[in-house]
This record gives sequence, C-alpha cells and structure tokens, in this order.
Amino acid sequence: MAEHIILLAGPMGAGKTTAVRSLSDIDSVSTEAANTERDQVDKPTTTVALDYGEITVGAEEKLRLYGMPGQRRFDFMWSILQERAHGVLVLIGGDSSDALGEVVTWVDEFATLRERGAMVVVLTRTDLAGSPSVPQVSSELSRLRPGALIPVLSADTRDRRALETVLTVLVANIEMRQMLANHAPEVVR
Amino acid sequence: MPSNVRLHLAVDQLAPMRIDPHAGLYWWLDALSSLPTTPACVTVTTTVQGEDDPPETGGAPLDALTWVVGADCFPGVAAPWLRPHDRYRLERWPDLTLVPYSVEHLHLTALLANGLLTVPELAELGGVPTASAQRLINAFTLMGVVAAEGGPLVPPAGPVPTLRAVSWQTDAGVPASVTRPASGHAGLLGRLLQRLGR
Repeated sequence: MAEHIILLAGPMGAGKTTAVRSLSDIDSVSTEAANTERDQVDKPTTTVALDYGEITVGAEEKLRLYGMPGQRRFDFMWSILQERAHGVLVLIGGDSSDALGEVVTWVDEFATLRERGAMVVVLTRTDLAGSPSVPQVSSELSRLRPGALIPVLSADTRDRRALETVLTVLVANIEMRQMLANHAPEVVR
Repeated sequence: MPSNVRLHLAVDQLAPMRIDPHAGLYWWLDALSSLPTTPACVTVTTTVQGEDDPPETGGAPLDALTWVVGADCFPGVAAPWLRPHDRYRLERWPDLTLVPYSVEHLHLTALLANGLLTVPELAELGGVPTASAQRLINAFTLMGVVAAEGGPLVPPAGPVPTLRAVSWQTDAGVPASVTRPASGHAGLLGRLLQRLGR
C-alpha cells in the first residue's frame, strides 16, 4: 500500500479540523479538548493531538491527512511529521489580526517542505472584513522569502471542491518541479 | 497607477463594472458568464476615490475577471504587448479556487512556477499546442502573475481590443498527434485527478 502523508498546519482556529473533515473519505478522527486559550482564539474546543482523515486514490494508494495542533507546545510533532510528509497545507485565517505575520511564521516552521516546493498556503475566511487578499499575501511572502514560489490560494474549509483544488496544486507543483529537474534542468528557475 | 484610481468598464448595454486595480477587486451585478466575447462597444473611464468617500465593501477578486478576458482576447496568437522569444516565469499562483481551470492549466501553471520558459517550450513540456500555451501566457500577463525575462511588459496605448469568441478549454484544441509528457498524467497527480474526477 503506497501512502502519502499530507500535513495540514497553521495556527489554532484556522480551519484545519474542518478541512480534514471536508476532504476525508472516511469519518475523520478528531482529538478535541476544551480550549484553555480562549483569550487567543474564542472557540470552545481545540485539537490536542491530531485530526486524521484519508483519501483513497486507488486500491493500493492512500493520502493520509494529518491535521496538526496549532499550539506551539506541540511543535515537537511538527518536525517529526514533516520528515515523513509528502507535502503541507498551511492554513491561515484571513481574519487574524496578523495574518501576514502568521503566514511567514508557519512557512518557516516547515522549511524542509518549502524548499522541496511541497507547500501551499491556504487563506481561509477571506470574506471577512480586514482579510488581506491572496495577491497581497503572495507578494509579501515572495518578498520576505524569495526562492521557491509558494502557491497561495483562498478556500472555504467547508468546501470540498476548493480543497481538492488546493490538494492538486500541491501535488502538481511537486511533480512538475521534479519533472523539470530530471528532464529539463536548463530551464529550472 | 495611484491606489485611489477606479476603472469603470461599460460593455454594450450591460450594467457598468467597477474595478479597483490596487485592491484587486471588481464589482459587477452580473455573472462573468454573461460577459460577451464579441461586444459591440467597450468604454473604459477612470475616477479618483476621494478620502471622504465611504469605504467600498464586498467586491470579487479581479483574478476571475482577468482570467476570462485575458484568455479570450487573442485566441492562439500573442497579445500585442508580448515580445517574441521572451521567457516567462510565474510570480504568483493565480487563485485557482476562483477560476474555471482545466487540468492543462494546472500542468502549465506548475511548469511556469518552476521553470523559465518560452511559449514553445511551455507547450512542448505541457504536451499542448503552442496556441494553448500562448493563450495562457496572454491571460497570465494580463493578470500580472508572470514576469518576462526581457523586462516589464507594457500594454500598448489605444483602444481596448475586441474580444473574440473562443472556447477557454484547451483540451478541445489538442490534436491527436501531440504527445503529452509521461509526467503529465502519470504519477500521483494523474491518479489523484482521476480519483477526483477532474
């Protein structure tokens, strides 16, 4: 059985649990507990271990979706999991008071995957007032972290179709990068 | 262009469209699918947003509009602001959750994200006709998401080009003789797209 681990990372309240639930073929497994940091994010519960879901690609192939806890005290899990991961979706809430700062912070946490082109930033809740636009986030990210171009897309985490697009962009970016490196290295940027 | 300038687009007898290029938003009462590909008349005017004017709310991302217009303006031929032999690289991924993209668009965009390519190279690596790759470059330059190796691209002054009636589905124009690279539909991407019915 071929398995590909896709991480969903980002700060608490960005929509990771909902995204795993929307994408998963199976009933997703969540590890919710009472949120003791309601001064930071006002929601009653939060993920304390992992959210888990999966997409069956074929009889012998699966995508395993790991929604990771957003609190920094769980950062030991981030480094362990990114070693095994095929790619990461970094979810950031557009309604955050410092969405741009959070994008940079989380992109840096997964530098190994970023350098492989195995990262997509997903801006959620862009319909709320004060959210930066996708072009604004993308431009700022390119300015602050030049190098591999990181796709930035918007998505409602309840919208499976939009999340499927995000997922295919992640996989396409990884595969085209590898294809160019192997077959047309002279045009690799 | 100053950030307080707004464009107003009048297409035939349709409701006026307002565009804020700085914020990357547009306002239009109609759906983009009602935008004619062969309008009889297109008028563009500008206004300056005053400091005391109420803030504008709502609005749709401009990517969706420029994607449609850029792809349909010059079917199969280079837009007049492009230079022959330029190489292109993606500077920003278009927000594909907002536009009606095809699998070919996904492949070509990912190639431009990781390579510096001429239009013929893009077509060859993507396994599509040159006209399809050209159409994507036309759209991407209008959207401002690609950079050209030869320097900034400047659209020519003059009348707005007439939109042409074309289909924005590259699959339809792919001749049987074109062979897509194996990586295009093989690998995890190909299997995932098949699984998702794309």
